[in-house]
Parts: sequence; structure tokens; C-alpha cells
Amino acid sequence: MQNDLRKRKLNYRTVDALWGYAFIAIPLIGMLIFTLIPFGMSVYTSFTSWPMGQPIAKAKMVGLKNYIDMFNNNLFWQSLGNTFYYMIGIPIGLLISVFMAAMMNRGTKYENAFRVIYYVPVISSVVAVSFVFQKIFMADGGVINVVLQKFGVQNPPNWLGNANYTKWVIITLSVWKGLGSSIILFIAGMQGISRSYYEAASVDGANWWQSFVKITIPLLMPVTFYLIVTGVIGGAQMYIEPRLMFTGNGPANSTFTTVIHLYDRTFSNSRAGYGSAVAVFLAIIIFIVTLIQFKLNSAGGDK
Amino acid sequence: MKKMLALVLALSVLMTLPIISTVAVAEDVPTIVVNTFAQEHEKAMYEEVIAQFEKDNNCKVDFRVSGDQYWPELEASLTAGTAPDVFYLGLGDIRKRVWSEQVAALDDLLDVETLSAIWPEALNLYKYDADTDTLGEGKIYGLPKDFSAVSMTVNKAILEKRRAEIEAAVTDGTLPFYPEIDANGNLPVYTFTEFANLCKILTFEDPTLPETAGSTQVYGTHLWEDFTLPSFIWGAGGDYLNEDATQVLYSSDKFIEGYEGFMKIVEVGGSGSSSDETSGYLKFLAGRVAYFPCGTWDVGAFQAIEMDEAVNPNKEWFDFDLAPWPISDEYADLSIEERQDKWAGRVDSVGFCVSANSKYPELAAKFAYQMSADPEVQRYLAQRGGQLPNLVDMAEGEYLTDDTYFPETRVVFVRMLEGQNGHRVPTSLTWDDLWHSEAFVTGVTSVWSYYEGSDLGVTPMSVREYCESVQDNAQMLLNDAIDTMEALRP
Repeated sequence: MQNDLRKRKLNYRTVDALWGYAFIAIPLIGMLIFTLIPFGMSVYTSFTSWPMGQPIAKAKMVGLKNYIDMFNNNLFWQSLGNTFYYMIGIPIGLLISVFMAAMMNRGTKYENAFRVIYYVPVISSVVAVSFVFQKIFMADGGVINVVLQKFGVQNPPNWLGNANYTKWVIITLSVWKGLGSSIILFIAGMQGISRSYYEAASVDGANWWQSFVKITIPLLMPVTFYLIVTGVIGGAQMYIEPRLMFTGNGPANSTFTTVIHLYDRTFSNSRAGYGSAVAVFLAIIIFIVTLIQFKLNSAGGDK
Repeated sequence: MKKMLALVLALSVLMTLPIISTVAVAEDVPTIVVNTFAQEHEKAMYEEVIAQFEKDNNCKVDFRVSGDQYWPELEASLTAGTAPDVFYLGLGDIRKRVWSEQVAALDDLLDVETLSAIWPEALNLYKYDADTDTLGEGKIYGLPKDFSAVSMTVNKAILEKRRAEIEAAVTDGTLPFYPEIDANGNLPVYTFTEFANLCKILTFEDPTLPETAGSTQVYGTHLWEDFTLPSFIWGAGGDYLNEDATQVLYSSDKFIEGYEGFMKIVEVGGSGSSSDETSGYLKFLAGRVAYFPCGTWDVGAFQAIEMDEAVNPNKEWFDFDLAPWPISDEYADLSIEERQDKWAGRVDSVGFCVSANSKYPELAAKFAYQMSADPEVQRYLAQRGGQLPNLVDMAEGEYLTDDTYFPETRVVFVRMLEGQNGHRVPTSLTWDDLWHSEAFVTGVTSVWSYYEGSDLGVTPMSVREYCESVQDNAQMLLNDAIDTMEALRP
């Protein structure tokens, strides 16, 4: 009798487990088809000369040639430099959004209205936003330069035509567009912090700023960490904004990112082998940077 | 558990139903997918022609127009084996698509005799003999969508506003003649220096214009290297590549002379201050640029503005016509007659090709023929300014004599296509164009900075310094392209 029960229990467990596997099979198969197999193919094609548009059977092994070409290509290094330069926007965005979140979390009268206003850029089409920013920053008749001229600036900057300014135009757009989601996450994080910490600090005579720096910021570390990791990964894949806002690669290739380089070589010039080498290299960099961030975060957490 | 299974099954059936019904509908009449790129006015023209084709052939044409990502999207679909039935191919693509058996030979699908009315120069561009590896001979793998030419266009309304200044320049010898066709039909071909001086005269503040983008500043011209520099190089007697397209000629004296002629306009202050193509195009449409490149496909859009009495009464601020490209200063002593064959602009073509995997190859080929060679369609498209007629007799006959065609000086296009003033686009001669798009175009801001005398955040470089600096990398990328092609040769 007891044996029968155990068998039946085991059977139930087995069936449950099978159902569990069936459910996770869907995302796992998806990951296999859309992530792991393409990644494996990318690694393989990065060692071949495969002109895009030709059957992959025509890809010929060229060893490390694509990687050597890539490392010898100044334009590749410039694109990588630009890509990481854009990441300056990550700390800037975090600082602004944590400050804005703190302001909005104080129970002000128009708190919800502000949340909506700051979230609008997040749900706005990046295509539309890019064109709007283009009009704002145009040298000839752009909103900013028209305003500057009204204030007596004789030769306002050529924001979109001067390599010294172009990256900052993109950074401004990225920060502005990303603020809303960061603010929402920070507010959620702040609301999860127990009031008792602030009450205790208040009893000890801490002012708002001291509470903010000593309590809010440290306890928001998980949210901050999440935003940094996703920001770095997203930043490394920067493509749409510079592509839409600038003709070609921007002046002196100043808005040329690694993903644009990858895309142009692969699809516009049919050099899928070289493009795959860039993709694999970029994936390795993102993996290493993310790993370092996890290590740093866990080291910080241990303290 | 049973309920869950039933739910999953029901959902699966629901999700499958639309697919089944789509297939059922699609099988009613033959459907071909046609994928092209087109400007808005071209798209509208094609849609009308396609509606007639559907009616005449009892079929459905799934007409898809891609934006500026047409080529990457086509690459992806060809790689995935999901190419549309009919699609555009550029001149540099025919051989590689034949090698990979992605395009069908049209000889087996059409009566080749009917194609003799098409410009032979254009039709030959789509011929390839795979056995002898000879382009221009053998089977036909595409029919020209158009045989296009890019001349300059001039907004004569701006010339009129500056007539006094231009005539003064003619009087004092700065310009040899007024910028208009003379009594003998000679085009006003200027040298680089003369053209730069003319552009300087045409650069002025025009308070009579409505503000566009906050400005009423008019410029003589607004060119950019990628599209318009070749005309200057050819005008100097130079070229981008040697005859068999194996050597890049950026550091050659003739190339440098042509590029210096291009930058002279910037140096004297006769050009817009940025190399932004869109900005220049919009300024031209707003009547703020006098000289601008004009492809045969642009004519319809320009004509629409010119004829719009509501916004441009009496052609007050927009009155366009065609003009020749400038030539080397070496020809300064030549008469206007002697200058006529010295200038050159780009001629190019994209063609309708039929996928080797098309389910309806005959219908697809018929569609390509209809768009490329049917006289009614050609007349329709040409009269709306979408292209020149692909049919030689029509182009050299009614297109020139019938006033329903425009613009006034359309003979410029015809001369280019006849070969007198036309050159093939250099990048269409090579396997890929990295030797140009990556090695050359990406760094031209340095040259603009040098000649504008402006800080663009880069190290300024003269034309010679720049051309010499990019030569080796360009040659290396061209060698790579040649190697890639050789490796794929069947």
C-alpha cells in the first residue's frame, strides 16, 4: 500500500516535472534557435570569407584574417572608441534620474503628472525623436541656434557638423530618452526602503541631504547596478540614433559606432565574415564588462 | 490538466486558421511580390501602372517599396532564399547573382526580339556570358528600370534675381558668358574657377523668400562628394579607377585637380556650409540653392513645385532647368562650342530582375518587360518626370520634340545617355565599394574644414594631403574585393 502511494507520488512528481520542462522548453528552444545557434554561426562565419547574399556553403575558411583586418582597421577602433564614449551618458542619466526620482518621491502635488511627462520620451518613437533632435540642433535654423542668435551669439556652434559636438548631441538624446524608465525604477526602489531608517536618521539629527546620501543611495544599489548593466549593454549596441540623425558616419566619423560598422560591412558591402568577427569581438567585450560589473557589485555587497 | 491541454489545442487551431485562410486566398490568382525602392512621386506612378497590369493579367502584384535600406534588405532575403519575384539589381550585382544562381535568365521567358527597342547601352549592362565571364554579352538577366543620368539643375529664378551681377561679371571677364543655352544650342559649360565665381555671385541673402529652417540665405550650390564629386573628376580628365578597375587613382594628379575644383566653390564661399545631403536638397526645394544635382528620377518632384501656382506663382522663386557640370581650368581658353564634349556626369541603371526561385517566372518576366519596355508605360513614366524613356526612338524623338515632356533642356540627359557626356558610376565596376565608401568618403570632413577655414573638430587637410593619405587603404580594400570575387568565381 505504502509502495503504491510512493509510486503514485513519484508519478505525480514526474508528470509535474515533465510539464515544467515542457513550459521552459518554449523559451529554451527560442533561445537555442534565436540566440545560441546564430551565435555559433557567427563564430564560425567570423573565420570565413562569406559574401552576404551568397549561400553559406560558399563561405571559405580564412583563419584569423577577419580579426587581423579588424584590428588593423583604424575605423573599427574609432567606432569602438565612439561607442564607449557614448557611455558617458550612463552616469549622467543616473545622476539626473535619481535626483528627479527623489524629488518626485516627496509626495508633491503634481507627482503623477511629472511621472507621465518624464515617461513620454520612453514610449516615443526613436525615429521621430531623432528627427526632432535633428531639427533642434541644426546649425542653420535649428531651435537652439535660433535662440542663441536671439541672445546675440554671432556664430553659434555647428552642432551636427562639428565632430566636437556631435557625440554630445547623441548623448543628450540618449539621456533624455532614458530618464523616464530610470526614474520609475528609482522611485520603486525608494518606496521599498523602510521609513524606519529615515525616522532613525531624523532622530539622530540628519537632514534631507544626509539621509539621501547615507540611506537612499546605498539602498538603491541593486537598481543602480541593474541600470548600469543594461545601460552598458544597450550602449554597446548603439545604432539607431546616430544612423538617423547623421548622414553617413557623421563628421569625421564622430558618430560611427561599432554596430554601424558591423552592419555596413555585413549588409551594405556583403562582407559577412568580417561583420561576424566584429560581432563576436563586441559580444566578448560586453561579456567581460558585465562580468566585471557583477564582480564589483558582489564585492560591494559583501562589504 | 485536460482543460489546459484543450486550451493549448484550441489556441493552436486559432493561430493556424489565419495562415490557412491566407494561403487559400493567395492561391485564387497568381501573386508576384515586387520589391523596389522609390521616392513618393515614383511610387504613386508605379502604383497606377501596376493596377493596370493586374487588370490585364488577372493577377495580383504585392508591391513593396523599401526605404534607404533596400540593398541590405535584399541581401538578407537573397541569403535566406526568400527573395521577391521581381526586384531591382544594380550594375555591379549581375555577375555575383548569376554565379549564385539567384536570378533567372530572361531569354527563356521573353521574346528577346521585342527588347531591341531598348537603349542597347542599357540592355547590355544586364547581359552576362558566364562561360566566357564577359559582361555585355550572353544572356539577359535584367531589364533596365531606367537608364538614368545625373546632370546639374539650375533654379533660373535665382539667376534672374542676380542677373545684373552676373552680367557685370560677364562684362568684366570673370565669366565668359551668361549661364544659359546660346543661340546655337550650346550649353553654358564653365571651368571650375568660373563656376566657383558664379556660385559666389549666387550666394546672397534673399529677403523676398519665405524663411525655411529659419533662414533666407541663398547659396550658389551645395554639393557632396559621394554623389557629385565624380563629375568634377571626369571634368578634369581624371577617373577613380584605372581601365580594368584594379587600381585606385585617388592620388593621381587629375583626380586631385578635379577635387580641388570641387572645393574651390567652398573656398570662395559659394556653397552651403555643410556636406549634409538632405539639408542641401531641402534648401534647393525651398529656392535657396541655385545649382544642384538632378537625376532623371528627380524631375517629377521638381516639376511639381515649379508648376504649383499656389506656392510658386509665375515661377517666382522656383524655375528649374538642366545644366552641364563644370570642367578643368585647363579649358579656360576654349570656346563654348569646344567645351561641349568636355563635361561629364554619371549614368547609371538599376534593373528589374526575376528571382530564380519565382513560382511564376513568366508572369514576373512579363511584369519586368511591361515596366521596362512597354511604350505606353514608358510614355506615362517619362511624362510624369520619373525617368527618361527606355526606348531609344521615343527618347530621341517625341521626348525631345513634344512639349508635354520637361524640363526645357532635357537634351542634356539624352546627350549623357548617348555617351557624349556620360560616365558609368565607378563603384558599379567593382565587387563592393568599400574602397570608396569607407576609405574615401568617411574622412572628407577634414577637407571641408581646410577649405571652409572652419573648426569642424578634425585636423584640416588639403585635397592633396587627403587624397594621398587614403590611397593605400583604398587600394588594400579594392584588392580585398577583387580577391573575394576571385574566390567565388565558379
